[in-house]
Amino acid sequence: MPPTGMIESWSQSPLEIGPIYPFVGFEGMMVAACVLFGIAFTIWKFRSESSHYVDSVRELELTGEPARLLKTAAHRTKSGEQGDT
Amino acid sequence: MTDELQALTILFTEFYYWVTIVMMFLIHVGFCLYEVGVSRQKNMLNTLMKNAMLIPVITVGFFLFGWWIYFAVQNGPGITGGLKDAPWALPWSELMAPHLGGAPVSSELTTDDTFLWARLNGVFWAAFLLFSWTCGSILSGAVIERIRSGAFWVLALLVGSVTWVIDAAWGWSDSGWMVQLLGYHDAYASGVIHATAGGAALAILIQLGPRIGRFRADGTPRVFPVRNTWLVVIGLFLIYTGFWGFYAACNIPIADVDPADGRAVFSATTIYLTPTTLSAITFNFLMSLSGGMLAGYFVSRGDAFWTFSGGLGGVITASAGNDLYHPLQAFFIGVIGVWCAWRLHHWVERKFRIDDAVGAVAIHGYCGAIGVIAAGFLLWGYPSSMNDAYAKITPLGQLIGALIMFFGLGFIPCYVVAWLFARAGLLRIPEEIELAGLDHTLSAEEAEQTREILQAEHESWEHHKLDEE
Repeated sequence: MPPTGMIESWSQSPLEIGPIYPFVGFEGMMVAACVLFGIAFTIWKFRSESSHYVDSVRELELTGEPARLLKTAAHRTKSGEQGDT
Repeated sequence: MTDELQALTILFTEFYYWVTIVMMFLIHVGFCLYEVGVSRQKNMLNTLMKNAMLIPVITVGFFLFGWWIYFAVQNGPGITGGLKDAPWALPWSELMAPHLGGAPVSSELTTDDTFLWARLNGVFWAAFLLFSWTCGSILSGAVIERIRSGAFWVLALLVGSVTWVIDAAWGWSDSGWMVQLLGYHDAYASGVIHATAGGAALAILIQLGPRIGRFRADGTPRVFPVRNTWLVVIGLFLIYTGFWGFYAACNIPIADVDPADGRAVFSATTIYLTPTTLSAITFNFLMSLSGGMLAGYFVSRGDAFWTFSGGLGGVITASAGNDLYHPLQAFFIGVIGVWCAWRLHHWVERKFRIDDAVGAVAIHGYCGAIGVIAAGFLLWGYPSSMNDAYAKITPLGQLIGALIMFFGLGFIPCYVVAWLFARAGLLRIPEEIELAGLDHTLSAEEAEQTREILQAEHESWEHHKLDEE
């Protein structure tokens, strides 16, 4: 197995040591992977958040919770106690 | 590094920024506490996670493109020149990683690049990154309890890794085009961070709309009481502390400020490379903080939230010129800034039904923009940088600068993106969720888990009794 990094010995002059991480030369590929990861995370977040809200609203409707909450809000609006915004 | 003085300078600079970064982390801790303290019980965890997750989102964006933008677009591009080369800031550069400063592997870099940036790139990058998180957090507080987290993170990324970085390149670098042509001066970022983030927050708030119940039928606002004053106050104290670290991070700790050849005089400098001292900014930070707190206390008649926010507003208003002001000038600018911001906040709230949950537009946006403009009058005729050929500081240059910060790079980009999200139905949470609370599913899960544990305990007790019998 060839070494993954450019450091063969710490006894060489520090003035000659540049990058110390492994796989020097593959930075472009790592950046591309990170960009793809970021895009995938964003898509996942938007999708999961939307489906979470859809499920939650359905669940709340089954329990009658939003109807109760909205009824209370609407009642307050009508009576002038509370605006709708 | 074989020269001891040179080595000490670089190693001290590296350590100096590292310390400021750790101090500035407190800003984010403070923002989290503050926002959670303002949120109602039913939204607390969502508020925390929405803010906390902007850390990784902005960090990755700032690594991939934000840091490069800062160096590349200082000329506009197309205003005072083209795109600048910044090979050390490209995400695939070997200098965007652990490096000991020896000969470069990449042909794009020189030995001068590796010598200078190997030890400083990471800490400079992180110092700017912490400013980016602050921009994101400023937006975060304003929009709590009704924005979708996904949309918020994209907007935070836009401000934290793109727009504020562009305005920093233009007006917060020693040779940005705004410094060259307008004489723009904003030493501790009244405009480049606060006015920009405040303008962005206002744009999002317009698209987002107020929380349910925030305004009465006649349009007058209803106050949502602060849920936990102690969290809010501790949060703001931590923001003050981190803000002090931010002031230090805006300086370069050691640089040769003597223009004469063959002679060197060392001093701390501002971001414009003009000489300053830590004493100067300590005087002015504390005096502007005091002015803001007193004004906040006065206008709110002793309300804790506005008094502490006023301290922040005082510093933000005076920040543009806090490298040069007399402490009493910083004090009175802090007083005036907070008084104006308070009045503007309430006028805008009533007139346009803007629900800014934490007063972020006022404290950051209005105070920041007012501070930039005030510096134009107080510092009229001062050189804006070390280069005498650049424009001097003037009220007009600062006014144009404030408009660019608040509207050009703050308001407009976020208005467009938030509008797109709103059109796609991705900006605001459903009304049912807002009424039930963003944490309602967690509450239901907790209730179910608690019920299950109680049942298990009960069964265990029954077994215990049977065994005894």
